[in-house]
Amino acid sequence: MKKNRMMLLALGALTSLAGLSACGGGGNSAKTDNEIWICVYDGGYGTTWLKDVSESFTAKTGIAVHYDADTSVLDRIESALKDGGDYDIYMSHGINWQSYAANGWLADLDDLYTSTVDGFSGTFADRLANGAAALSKIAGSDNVEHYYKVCYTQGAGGFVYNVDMFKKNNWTVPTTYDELTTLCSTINAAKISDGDRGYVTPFAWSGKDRQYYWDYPVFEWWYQLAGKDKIDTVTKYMGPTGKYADGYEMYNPTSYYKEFTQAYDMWYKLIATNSANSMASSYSATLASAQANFVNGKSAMIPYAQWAKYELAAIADGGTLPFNIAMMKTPKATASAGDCNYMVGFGDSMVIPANSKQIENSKKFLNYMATEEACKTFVKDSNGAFLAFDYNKVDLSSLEATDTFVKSVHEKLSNTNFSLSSTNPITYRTVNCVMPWVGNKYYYQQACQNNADNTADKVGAALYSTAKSNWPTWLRNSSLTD
Amino acid sequence: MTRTVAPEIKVTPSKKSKKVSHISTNLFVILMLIYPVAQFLIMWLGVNVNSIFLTFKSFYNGKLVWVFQNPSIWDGNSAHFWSTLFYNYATLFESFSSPDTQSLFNASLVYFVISCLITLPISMVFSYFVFKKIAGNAFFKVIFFLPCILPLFILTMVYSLSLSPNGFIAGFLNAMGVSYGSFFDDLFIGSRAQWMVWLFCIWAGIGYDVILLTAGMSRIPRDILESCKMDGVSPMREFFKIIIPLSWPTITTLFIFGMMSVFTVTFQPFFLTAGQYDTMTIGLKIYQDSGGSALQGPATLGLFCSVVGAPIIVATRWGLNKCYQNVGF
Repeated sequence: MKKNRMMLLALGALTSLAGLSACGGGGNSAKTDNEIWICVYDGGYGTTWLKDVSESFTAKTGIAVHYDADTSVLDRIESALKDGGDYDIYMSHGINWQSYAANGWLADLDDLYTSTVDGFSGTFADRLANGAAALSKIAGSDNVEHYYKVCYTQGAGGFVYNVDMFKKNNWTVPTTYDELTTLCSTINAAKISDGDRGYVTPFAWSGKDRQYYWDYPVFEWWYQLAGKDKIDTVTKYMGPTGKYADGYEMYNPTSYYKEFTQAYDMWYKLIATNSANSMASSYSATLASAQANFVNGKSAMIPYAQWAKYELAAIADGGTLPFNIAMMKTPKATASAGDCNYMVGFGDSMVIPANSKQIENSKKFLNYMATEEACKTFVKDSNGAFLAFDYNKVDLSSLEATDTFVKSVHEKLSNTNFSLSSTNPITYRTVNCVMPWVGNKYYYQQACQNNADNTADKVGAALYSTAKSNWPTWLRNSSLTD
Repeated sequence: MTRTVAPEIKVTPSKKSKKVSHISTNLFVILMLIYPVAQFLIMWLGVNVNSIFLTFKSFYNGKLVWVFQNPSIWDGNSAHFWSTLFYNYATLFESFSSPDTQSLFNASLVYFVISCLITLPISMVFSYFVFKKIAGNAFFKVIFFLPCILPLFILTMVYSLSLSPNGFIAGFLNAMGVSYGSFFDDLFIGSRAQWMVWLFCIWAGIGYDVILLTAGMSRIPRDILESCKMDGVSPMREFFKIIIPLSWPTITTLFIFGMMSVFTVTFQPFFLTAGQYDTMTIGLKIYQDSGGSALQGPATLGLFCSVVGAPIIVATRWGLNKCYQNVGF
């Protein structure tokens, strides 16, 4: 009998434990009225900025801030928004905010956008980077348009180069595509020892893990060749007649997508058919391998984005790069083209769940992020990444005096910025389908392995054919009818 | 011998202790059942019912609503009732004409061949080696069992890194002075990528099969095997005539699991090729599409596969069970 009781007690304890463990580990249950919890995607910006910004926010407002960095935030955000989660603010890429807003799971941020920001004369909306406000508005569960998110970062991507190596060898930063190809030839002809039985090559890159980093220069070439209007037309993904039904025509390589295939062709000629321009095995190399090659001075350039310095420094001895780096303005497709910047990560979002009990305090935190102090802290702590706010009125001179990378990213962001985010529902209702590379299929890696089957003509035809054959299904899945 | 005959003493428990015992037993049963039942109701029944419901929903104003609540689909005309009700199924059938969908099904069906016609027979042979304690069986045990105790992510990483240009195999060949050109660069790209995923599935799958098969074979009575030995039965004959029939229930189970792999292979191509180079499977497609908001698409594909696959699998099981009479030992 005693044994039975013990067993019952043990079972009872186990059942209670299982029940309790299912509740999750956040701090929501123990929350006070004066604290907020933030969940941020654990990406290439680190969490030092969040610590510093939170501390100064707390000092100013008395509101405590707790934060967690997590790479699995996207796996559980939907259930957290729907059924109640632990956090008051989520910051990440890939948040399906349009759908969450339509379901009424996100807090309406209209009053945040009209609030004033300390140190600035305008509103919060005025503090945003160009185009950020338009991307943050959608009809909610009441069928009325509201702001439901704040853009997280504005990015720059392209060619990051070894400043010291360039200076030492008197290489000039190329401003056009032709100059870039000449520079590559110069680097190869110089036969500079890489200290390991080889020679310094123009590029190190990772085909296995980060082939899409080539998108950053390719998209800018596309923009320069096609022009803003044509890019805007394409990213609406409506047909020539303005209807959904033949939206696939935007991928037609002889008309709307002509310049995209031309931009790809420029890359193809630079890298795919010119293996001397890359470290050996780059197309099958891992990111770690590409990073190590660049950090060890085996290549002069590496395609990357604004998180380059943070990630490259992390693998360098002592956590500091042994040389200065900078991001060049992407060499222009043609001499007459204007400089531009593809806004990497512009679709990343900061959202507040509608079921949060700290909506007002959370809005205060987002408002605080727009201040000069927070914007500057983010750039400093993330080693060169920028929040999606207007930095024209943020004084970064002290940082730029000592950091070539921050200065270069800031300069690149001062160009004409563009993003490829679309408001057409087909792009976010059918995830990974309608996007510049249809079906999220990249060709950079396989083009290096098999030149003949991945020419611009063949790739253009493949994109068009895939879009055309799948378009009716994607439309039906999105319930889009004309 | 002295025998004692005594009246039987009947101990009748008191009403109170009977009641307490009854409550304790019931409480015990309830506590034992509460977790698995809740798990079943929430994680299986709830999820599946919700998935079935999803197949009758579509987007309206950014939300998933019943197809009949969506004015862009349902026009109120009763002639369109069935086409509206099965709107998502019609969408799925329409997608069958797309080369991408055809490639998806072809790539998935290959796993039937890999699991049932390649991995399982190889596993049976190796299991027999292990069972018979043939020289080197301990080494094979480690080789086969290792993949089963490592998480899939680690396993795919070990596999791809070993076969990378900087991996130990390339390093070994380098040390031996063997020239291999760009062989290791190209392994996970283009048409070779499929082969590498298949090879991985065979390698990783054998271990799982061998564990179950050796467990099944170890239950075969030694008397039978000794009798075979005395009768001079060759190992080949023993394998086909004794081992296979007596392990048939295990083999049947593994064959069924192999058939199900057509729908369940998901993360192997995800980790190795991200589903590129024609390695996208039904499972991976459902997983990836579930990341978007058009959940009715993957739900319909999943239900379609279940409806088509379940009868085939049940019929196959019935057929396989007919092959050999079930023997209890």
